[in-house]
Amino acid sequence: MRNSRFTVWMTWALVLGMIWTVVSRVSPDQSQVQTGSVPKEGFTAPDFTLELLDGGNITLSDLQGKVVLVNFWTSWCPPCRKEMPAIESVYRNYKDLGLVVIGVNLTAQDSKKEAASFAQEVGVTFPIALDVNNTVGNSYRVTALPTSFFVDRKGVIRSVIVGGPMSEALIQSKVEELLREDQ
Amino acid sequence: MKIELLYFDGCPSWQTGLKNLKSSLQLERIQAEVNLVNVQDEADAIRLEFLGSPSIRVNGVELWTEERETFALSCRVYPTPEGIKGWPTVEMLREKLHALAG
Repeated sequence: MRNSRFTVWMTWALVLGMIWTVVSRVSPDQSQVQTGSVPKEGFTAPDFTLELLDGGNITLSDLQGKVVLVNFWTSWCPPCRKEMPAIESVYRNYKDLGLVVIGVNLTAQDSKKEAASFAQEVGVTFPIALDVNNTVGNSYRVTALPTSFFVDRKGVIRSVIVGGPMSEALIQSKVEELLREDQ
Repeated sequence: MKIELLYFDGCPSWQTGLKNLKSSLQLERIQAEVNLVNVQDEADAIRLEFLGSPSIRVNGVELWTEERETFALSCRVYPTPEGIKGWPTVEMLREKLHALAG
């Protein structure tokens, strides 16, 4: 009697285990997303949608086919402030060739007002995105400001620069290299 | 215990980092002086393998280590329970110090 009850329990456990295995398996598509989007060189840049300072939204994945510089900054960070004119200059020179710059302001650590005031002071013409809840900063594992990610036309991170200020020559050389590559 | 706080003048967040560090030392009853190390330029940042301002080292070891190939002047941010901040919280520091002292 005891043996047969044990067998029934074991059978149920086995069946439930098999069901769980099937239900919780990761499909090939999911797997690609989970292992592919990592904020490191050689990996697909984690996608995001953020509100823009001037209104509207921006979604990184909509920019496939473009070279994208994602620059994380705050208005109180001196090296961020120092490199902003260089980024703006490169953006103006290369935007018609396919460069997009997204200045991601870590707004949770800054203020929209300060960010706007600084962007105006520098005369920034590229989109400034507001990371109000730190979600993008977290997904990009930003540990220092400024941090810049150079993303190629296929959406792959090709270079990460932590700290700054980046010189205009450095930004230009990285952008030119990626723009030269075919779509 | 040798405690250093590496900072650079530009990032104001190091002052909160220092305040939190001193509070956590007091709460953990650790009597140690905090040596302030001013990272003045790029050369200093490279020489000291500076991870950003503020960075805290105990007996020469970073409390929050990070794999980094290049070093530059930057404002460090920390993932805290309240989101990304420019300094570690008192609780985060206490936890690290407690583990080291324990």
